[in-house]
Amino acid sequence: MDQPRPKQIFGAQVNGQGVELLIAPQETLLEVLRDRLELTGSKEGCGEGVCGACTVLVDGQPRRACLTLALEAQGLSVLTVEGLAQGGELSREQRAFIEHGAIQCGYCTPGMLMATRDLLSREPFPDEAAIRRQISGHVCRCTGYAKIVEAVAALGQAAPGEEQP
Amino acid sequence: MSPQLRYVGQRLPRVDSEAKARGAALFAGDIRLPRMLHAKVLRSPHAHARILGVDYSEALTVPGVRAGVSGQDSAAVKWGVFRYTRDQVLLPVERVRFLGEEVAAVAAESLAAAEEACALIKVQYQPLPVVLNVWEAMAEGAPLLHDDHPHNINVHVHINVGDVERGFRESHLVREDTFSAPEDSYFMTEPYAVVANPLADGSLELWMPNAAPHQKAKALANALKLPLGKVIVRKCAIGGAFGGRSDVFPAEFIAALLAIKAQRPVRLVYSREENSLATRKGHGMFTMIKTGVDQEGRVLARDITCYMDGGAYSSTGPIATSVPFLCMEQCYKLPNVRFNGYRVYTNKPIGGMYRVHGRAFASGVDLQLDLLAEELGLDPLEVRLRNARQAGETTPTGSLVQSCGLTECITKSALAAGWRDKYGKLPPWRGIGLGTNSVQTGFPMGIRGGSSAMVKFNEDGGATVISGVVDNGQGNDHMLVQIAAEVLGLDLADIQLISADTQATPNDPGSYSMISTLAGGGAVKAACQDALAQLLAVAAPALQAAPQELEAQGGQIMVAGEPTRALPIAKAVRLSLAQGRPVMGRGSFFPRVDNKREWLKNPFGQLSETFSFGACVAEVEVDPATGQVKILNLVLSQDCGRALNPLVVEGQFEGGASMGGVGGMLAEEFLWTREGRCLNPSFLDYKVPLACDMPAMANIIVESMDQSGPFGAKEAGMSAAMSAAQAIAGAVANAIGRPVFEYPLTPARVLKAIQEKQAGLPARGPQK
Amino acid sequence: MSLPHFQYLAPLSLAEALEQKALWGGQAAWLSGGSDLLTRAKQGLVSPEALISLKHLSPELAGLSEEANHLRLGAQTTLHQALSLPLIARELPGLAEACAAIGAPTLQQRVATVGGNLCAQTRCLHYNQSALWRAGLAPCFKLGGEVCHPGGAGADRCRSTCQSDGAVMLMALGASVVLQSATGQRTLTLSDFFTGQGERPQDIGPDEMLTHVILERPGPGLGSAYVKMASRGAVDFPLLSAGAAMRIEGGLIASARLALGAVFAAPLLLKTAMEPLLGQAPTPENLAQAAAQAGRDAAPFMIENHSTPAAWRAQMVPVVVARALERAASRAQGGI
Ligand SMILES: Cc1cc2nc3c(=O)[nH]c(=O)nc-3n(C[C@H](O)[C@H](O)[C@H](O)COP(=O)(O)OP(=O)(O)OC[C@H]3O[C@@H](n4cnc5c(N)ncnc54)[C@H](O)[C@@H]3O)c2cc1C
Repeated sequence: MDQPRPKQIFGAQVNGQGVELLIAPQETLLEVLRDRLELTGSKEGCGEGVCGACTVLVDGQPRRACLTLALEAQGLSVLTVEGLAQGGELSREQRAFIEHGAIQCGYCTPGMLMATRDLLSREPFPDEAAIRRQISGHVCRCTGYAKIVEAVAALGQAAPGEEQP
Repeated sequence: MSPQLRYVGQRLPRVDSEAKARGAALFAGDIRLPRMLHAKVLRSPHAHARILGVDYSEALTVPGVRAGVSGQDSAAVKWGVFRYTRDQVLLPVERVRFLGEEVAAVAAESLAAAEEACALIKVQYQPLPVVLNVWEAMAEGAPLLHDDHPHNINVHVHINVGDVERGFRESHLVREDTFSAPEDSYFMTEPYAVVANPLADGSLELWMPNAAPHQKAKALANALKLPLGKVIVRKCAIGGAFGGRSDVFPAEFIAALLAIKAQRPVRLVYSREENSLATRKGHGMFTMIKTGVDQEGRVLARDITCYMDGGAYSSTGPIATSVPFLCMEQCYKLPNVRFNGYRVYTNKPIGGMYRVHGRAFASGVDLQLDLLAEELGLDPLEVRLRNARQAGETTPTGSLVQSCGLTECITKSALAAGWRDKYGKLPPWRGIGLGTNSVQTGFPMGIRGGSSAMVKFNEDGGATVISGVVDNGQGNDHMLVQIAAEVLGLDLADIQLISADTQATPNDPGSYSMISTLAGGGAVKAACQDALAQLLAVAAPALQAAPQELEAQGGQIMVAGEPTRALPIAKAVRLSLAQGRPVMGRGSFFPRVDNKREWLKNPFGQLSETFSFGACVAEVEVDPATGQVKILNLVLSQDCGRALNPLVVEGQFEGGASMGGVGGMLAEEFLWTREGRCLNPSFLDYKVPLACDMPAMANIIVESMDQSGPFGAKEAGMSAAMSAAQAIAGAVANAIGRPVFEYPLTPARVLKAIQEKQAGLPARGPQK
Repeated sequence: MSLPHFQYLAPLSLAEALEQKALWGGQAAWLSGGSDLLTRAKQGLVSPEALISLKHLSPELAGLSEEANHLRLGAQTTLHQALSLPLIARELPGLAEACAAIGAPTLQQRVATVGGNLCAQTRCLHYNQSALWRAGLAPCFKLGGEVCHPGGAGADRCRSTCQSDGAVMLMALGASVVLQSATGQRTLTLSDFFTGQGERPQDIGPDEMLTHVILERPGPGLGSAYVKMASRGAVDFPLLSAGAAMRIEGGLIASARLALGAVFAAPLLLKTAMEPLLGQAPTPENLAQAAAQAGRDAAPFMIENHSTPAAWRAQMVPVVVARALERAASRAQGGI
């Protein structure tokens, strides 16, 4: 308040693009994404790590952007829902969610998609229990999760050896 | 004329889902305008207090702060959904009535500055005694929240049909039980947010999650003392409603005042806690149900008294107090019935319409039927079937039921769940239960009860649909587009939708009360038919055919049965323009209801044009050592008239069962301290079900092909939430061998019931 | 909810980190996964002037090393890493269960740490609330005040409880922790590390960092199990939990340690209830007796500081204890 508060340079690869910004140290990754980079796809549903709507991948690891200081992602790669589609083409997770009716109000969708990307990157053929476990840190009030589980399961049903973009 | 349906009945991905999957759909809190300020609200730390003074002058000295408001800056208009429920000053001047109520607010260049400034607002309170439940509130000498409401009774709904006393006298068996449940809460994933933007012409643009843009605009215009045309509610993506976005909140009023004062756009985003406390919550409930049946289990008389904890203000009180009863009277044959519903003011956040409309009501009615059946040695399934409403019957309060697939729902759910092999034959601690219910499609709302739509054809052969229907997440946008594409013979992608924007779209009742498909969809269908008829008239001479020989399909107008005699729609549109006869369709749907029906003064007459019906069978397993309930399976069925898009309908079933059934029946409840603090306003402490907690669900769609609904459709949003709750109550009682009267069925409550049974104590209802 | 202002430091080595902490002392807080610290900071329950991030210290402080007769688990080991370590999965299934029970996979499993779990604050339904919630309420013991809201008028101390799943299991396993500062190092058993005072639950100096957890080598005959009761299948903190570690030699119980979570400011070690088991066979009756005694011993700790009634939680103690003992005994005898 009295003294000017020092700001710090934040640099990261966000959805494949280098960004550099001057930020306050207490800014969360979610604030930087939403307010500074105008990447509002990641949502704040609770701000305390429960609902999962803000989940992004930092160097491939899922993180609650609301409980992650931006500076903790310094120099790392950040993937948000906006970065899933490549060259305008929807990713396979996005397509599966759309086709299986896994999206209703859409507020939890960005976090669910990131959780799906993370799961499939580690476990390409998850069973239903593994899917439910993975998304159990993501609250959806609309779907009862059934169609989300179906969408993720469909993605994991490609035979081994088949191309996994 | 109607060719084969191409879209209706197909499992189609929703037209709005791609934007949501990309993270591109803009919710109110995502909207950012040039020069936008950020607002923060100061809230009452007291559940009941007189406001002696509010001083925000120091807050204005914080760098970056541009405006402040308190009740003193407003016209202090009392707002209410009905003329007779005007009891809420949207920014209170004289008194606060619940902990968390808005008192003042500031807008600043940054949220941090607004938060800092908010902490500097000085409010002087004189704390007043509080009442925190219906019994305290109704007690003799209790402090009154609103001086003109003795005993804090906000609303009394009284209905008396037939001769209830005689019905009881003629009954073979009569039971009286009391059921209770504390408040449930919506927990839509999007916390409330408003953006208000003052425009150069003196009007005000607003975005917020809402269930009825036109009703929001009207109420806000009144509160702000602006002409209706100066308040524009715009469309944005909405993160769920479930009944909790239905009326007007102080948030939009505050954002509007700040925006007008600062002459800058203002964004106000609620925290999760603020969303819980300062929008709406469900009602806490005590329901006393007395039912008399004959030897075959047919209900001869029922008398229900229900006390609802309404919180500090009326909101939609008269409706909320009536709907639990109405769902029941629609569902079951009731020759004699009496209902006394009391909504009571307490010093708690405001109660709103909630998707399940009272666990302690719906589940109570059905569980009591099970108990009566048991005493009579009858199968509860049989008793349901004997009492089930049939098409052509009239409800006790005078609504004709024109289509009804209830019996089919019950039989199909029971069959799929294996009821006959399971009821009474399950291993210990396993149970099976059945729930049945009915839901309205809208209420009499006078001049606001109907929906209208417009359709214009565009030069490229596409069409623009203009409708007031709002999409809260349930898929209304898709529903409108799908209906339009079906009628116009176009692809979904050829339809452009303008909706839920009060500047552009005609009136619509709003997407609560399950009316959107019937009225909004019906209006779009009519408008499309009108537009198409005009276009066919233009095309007919070119095709050397009579208009009635023509049909539209795949972007072509063709002579029915002769696909070679066709004209692209785009050409027909151009032709119409060349002839100076541009095609503009309009249509409306005003449900045939009795507009003399009134919630309190005259609760008789046609309530909705048509009704939906549903059933659910639940199977559960109880851990007798802990009282924990595991739901093994839910079989959900509903007569939704016609499933326009089964993918969407199933999503409504599954989501409803999660909210009303799994969450609502097993875990969700608000807890309070003695001072009126909600102990669990957060996503951590209020227990919304997670993916790992959800059972297997089977969906059965029953189609009664309603004569009024678009393509036969009624509604599909609410039924499963209620029937799942009812079925789970029955299944748990079946599993442990005794009813539990207090909900939700937490391990503590279930274990207590088990232990009381083991100790040979009688099953007891809730204590006041 | 914005975070209050603080400085952010990200030292590159343990030595540098300890020097910085020595300088800042109690004004700075260690930041590992942040899943406990930042939620409290958002609620205004803590306002450190600086956060010292441990993110660069993982190479030094993450992972398991096997030494002659004990194991050293680095504080920066994430929960997911911990439960995936073959030795833990194979020989300490109770610890794997406890780590898996924390939060949810995408919530903190991959970033939250073992050290953070041991140093997380005790919790209370009346404490872990927002500034708006607390406005108009007298500050409680844990916030430097003189009341305990759930404890009521007669309360003379903080009644918050340890709800760290990992801590409860590690207490049952008899673990110790290494606390290091720029000037020295101490090793404390968890019984000493956890003070039992909600106001200050851990004995850790302002200049110290918890660097390692020391565990006895499990060896044959040891069985461990963790049983958690929570409202939902994920995310939720325990309403009650029990960690059990039992060694069975020649068919008889050679040692039995049981710790309860979510009842006391420290994981509550129930020594007297387990004593009668020593030298006995792990029969269901013997285990049930010990569980019943555990229930009696834990009863005085139960107050209304959780979202479920204290009476139910009290009744659940023998149930979770029996389940934990049974599973530990079965594992000690080669079962799963
Ligand atoms: C929604 C939600 C659900 C949760 N559910 C559970 C649950 O079910 N069970 C459970 O046990 N926990 C739960 N937690 C709490 C928390 O996630 C875990 O305890 C986690 O293990 C903490 O680790 P962290 O690395 O994130 O700690 P941090 O938040 O980084 O640190 C926690 C505390 O320890 C201090 N600290 C961190 N590292 C060290 C160190 N090396 N030396 C000294 N001090 C240190 C910090 O300064 C801070 O005070 C939950 C949290 C949230 C937000």
